[in-house]
Amino acid sequence: MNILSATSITGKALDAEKTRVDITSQNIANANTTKGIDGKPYQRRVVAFESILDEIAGQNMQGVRVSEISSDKTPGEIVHNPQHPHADKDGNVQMPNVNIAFEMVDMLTASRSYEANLSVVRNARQMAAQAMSIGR
Amino acid sequence: MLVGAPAPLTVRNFQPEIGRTNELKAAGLTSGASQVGGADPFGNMMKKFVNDVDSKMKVSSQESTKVMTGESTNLHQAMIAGQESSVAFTMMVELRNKLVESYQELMRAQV
Repeated sequence: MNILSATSITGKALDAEKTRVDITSQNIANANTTKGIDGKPYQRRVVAFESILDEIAGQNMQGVRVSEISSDKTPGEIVHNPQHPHADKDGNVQMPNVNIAFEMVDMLTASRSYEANLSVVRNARQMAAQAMSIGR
Repeated sequence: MLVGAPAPLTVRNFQPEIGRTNELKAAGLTSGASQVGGADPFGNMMKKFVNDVDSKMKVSSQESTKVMTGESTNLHQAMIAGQESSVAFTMMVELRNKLVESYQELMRAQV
């Protein structure tokens, strides 16, 4: 029995958008990290989505999932700061390639998409409730 | 059962009702002699429906437990499962009301 079939796809979309917000939070948190897990300055991560067939929602219905989380290879800014513990022998520090303004825009886009998917859920529920009020 | 129980009537105390209806039917208390003692497609369908609603409620309670114990952070999945079970339950109650109504309508019929 599948009463709210739209919610199966929307649930997956919400999962994906949530991952996007999580990754943005990681990027913002590491905006000043000059030594990542690999010892190099942090590289911002980019989330990509892909479509998948959703059997629960119906035949040929397409859901969404996170296809990959890749790192942005563009080099970050080089700052001259000899006092920095991670400075090289010339006193230069390689900063991460995170741009806070870009990340804020990404975060807002992801959170608006999340909101849009939430209103789909609300609407699906309302439709079911209205259908059940037929003949009352 | 954490979410979606608008009425004090629960799946667990609804199921015995169906069993009792079947007993009444077996005792010959209903009309339609062809049905008595034979296969009961409608009763089975209703039973399956009630079980479906019950399993939706179980899924919903599992999801919210997962969120509360920190096993999962997908709050939306828990909320969606709650909504789904709530809609299914409302539908079941609507169906019951309709059945009872039609039964009473039949009982009022002039013979």
